[in-house]
Amino acid sequence: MSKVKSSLAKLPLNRYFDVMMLIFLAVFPMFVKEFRVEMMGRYICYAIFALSLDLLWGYTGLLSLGHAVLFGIGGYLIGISYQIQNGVVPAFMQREGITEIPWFYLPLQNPIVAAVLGVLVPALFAALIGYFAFSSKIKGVFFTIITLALAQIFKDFIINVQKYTNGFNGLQSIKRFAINGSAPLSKTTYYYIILGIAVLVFLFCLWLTNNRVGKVCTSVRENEARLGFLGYDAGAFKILIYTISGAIAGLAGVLYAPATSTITTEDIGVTASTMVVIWVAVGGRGNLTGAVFGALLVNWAQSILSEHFSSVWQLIIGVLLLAVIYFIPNGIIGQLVNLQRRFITDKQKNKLSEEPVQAAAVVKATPHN
Amino acid sequence: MSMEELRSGSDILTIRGLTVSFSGFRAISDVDLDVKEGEIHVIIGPNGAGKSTLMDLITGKTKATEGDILFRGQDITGKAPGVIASKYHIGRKFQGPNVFDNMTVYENIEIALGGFTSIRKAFCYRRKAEQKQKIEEVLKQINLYEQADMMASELAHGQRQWLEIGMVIAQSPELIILDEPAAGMTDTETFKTGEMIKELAKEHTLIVIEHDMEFVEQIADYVTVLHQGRKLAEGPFSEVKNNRKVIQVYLKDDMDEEGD
Repeated sequence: MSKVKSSLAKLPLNRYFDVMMLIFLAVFPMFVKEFRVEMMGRYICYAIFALSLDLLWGYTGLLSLGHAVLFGIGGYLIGISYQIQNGVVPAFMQREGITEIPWFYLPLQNPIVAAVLGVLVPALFAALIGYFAFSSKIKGVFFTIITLALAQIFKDFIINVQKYTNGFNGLQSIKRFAINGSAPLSKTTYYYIILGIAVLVFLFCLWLTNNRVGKVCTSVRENEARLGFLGYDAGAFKILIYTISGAIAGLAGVLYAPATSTITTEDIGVTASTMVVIWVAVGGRGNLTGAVFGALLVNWAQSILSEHFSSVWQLIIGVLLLAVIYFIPNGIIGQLVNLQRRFITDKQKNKLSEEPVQAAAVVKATPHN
Repeated sequence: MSMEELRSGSDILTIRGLTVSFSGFRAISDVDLDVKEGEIHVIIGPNGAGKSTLMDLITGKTKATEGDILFRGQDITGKAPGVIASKYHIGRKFQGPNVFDNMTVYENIEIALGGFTSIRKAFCYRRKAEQKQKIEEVLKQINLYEQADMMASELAHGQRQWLEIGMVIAQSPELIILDEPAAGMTDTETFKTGEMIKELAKEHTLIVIEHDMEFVEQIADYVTVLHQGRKLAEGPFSEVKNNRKVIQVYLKDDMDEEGD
């Protein structure tokens, strides 16, 4: 009896919200112009990116201010792939006197290889940073500062090695996965591919966070010191979740660059890293739904406001952001989940205190029957 | 010395010449301690006697300057907390509730379950009948069965203390260390906690740090008194409570407290 009640109580509101969002996104292309579909595809990539940060920040309590580095590595790898198709040396390399494709770019000629590397390299990079940060007991705000520095260094690095990355200008005409000379995928087809992958990533995150590994990560957020005395190596779990988060961020980048056909240093630095933090903060941390919803909402708000109020839209976004953080620090979805949770707990508390009364009532009632 | 001989059984924990100094200050100084299998060994002493520091040394939170700590004859001095918890099965409840606040009572106990602490084992962990039974058993033992779905942060102070005791039990430790388990509890809660501890002693060995003398009398098989980092006396409670040196230290301490 109590088990049925508790399992019903555990069905959080946001899971219904997930289904509604999915239905909305699935039918979206049928009702809007193609450029809107393209936009939404891009925002779904952002949502995947936001999910990767939610695993790290929302669930494990590790705030990264350099997450766009991992996103950027994915985007740049697929971007380079489309600069060097058919063995052509791109113009920006020729200008610097490079006549042959550098050996380390050769495997990237195949977009599929580039895409796979776009997931693996960020994962390895995160594992490496995680290894140095977490095995030397770097905690809390110091991790955040390191990642912030990382974002700046990485951006400078990409700009400095101009002959390999085209510096400031970034990479253009990235095709929507045209393979072996075939035509690129249509915008709508690509949209559904992004959506499909996003659903898989979401389900993976859902599984992971309900797995014991995810719960251990949540315990790291709650009380890392306590976890050590339960026999866990918290550092190992932190490296693991950072690595997984890196892979997902890289995947988001791999999908994103072809969706907009460009990737530039604007997409990889501190600003881009701060944006993803804002999306997750607005949507709500630690429930996955919030990350996705926040990414979609903030980006739509941005584009619509910039279309209608081209001069003051940034101000409006800023005010909205402050309002959310001040009035609902748990984010929009986080607030909904909390309200539901409080409602259920109150009901349970009432039940707990009512039960003896009911029992007494039954005893009293029996003689009359 | 005569009482010493009456204690039977082998040592689960043997401490010899344990010393730790923090920038010159000797928090623990040349302490010997024997904890026998299956007993409730209570450590008492005035504030600053080094009780919690001694527990920090046993559980690996602090590294000893000198001396040895043996768990069933194996040297565990200076090992990492995770190793001491998972390999040697020493579980510890900290002073003041130290739980995972924004997780449910059930999740708190589940995370503490022993034997699934490596990444690989955590990935493969499934909540099978055996685990469910163990978790429910623990929840009943600590009187929190009805509260399983509540967040730890929603519990009352005493219940949070119990939850942490439950987490320690769920680790299936062989030696349980409880640091002031009844701190901040009402008299009824304190008594319940005492009974809980006695129940635990049927299957585990316990080291308990405590202030409350009535509570010590309720649970203690054997008492060690620390004072200023040194061992002052040891023996059964009835003997220790009449020890002249102990009375002196405690009276002095009580007078100090009244003086405050």
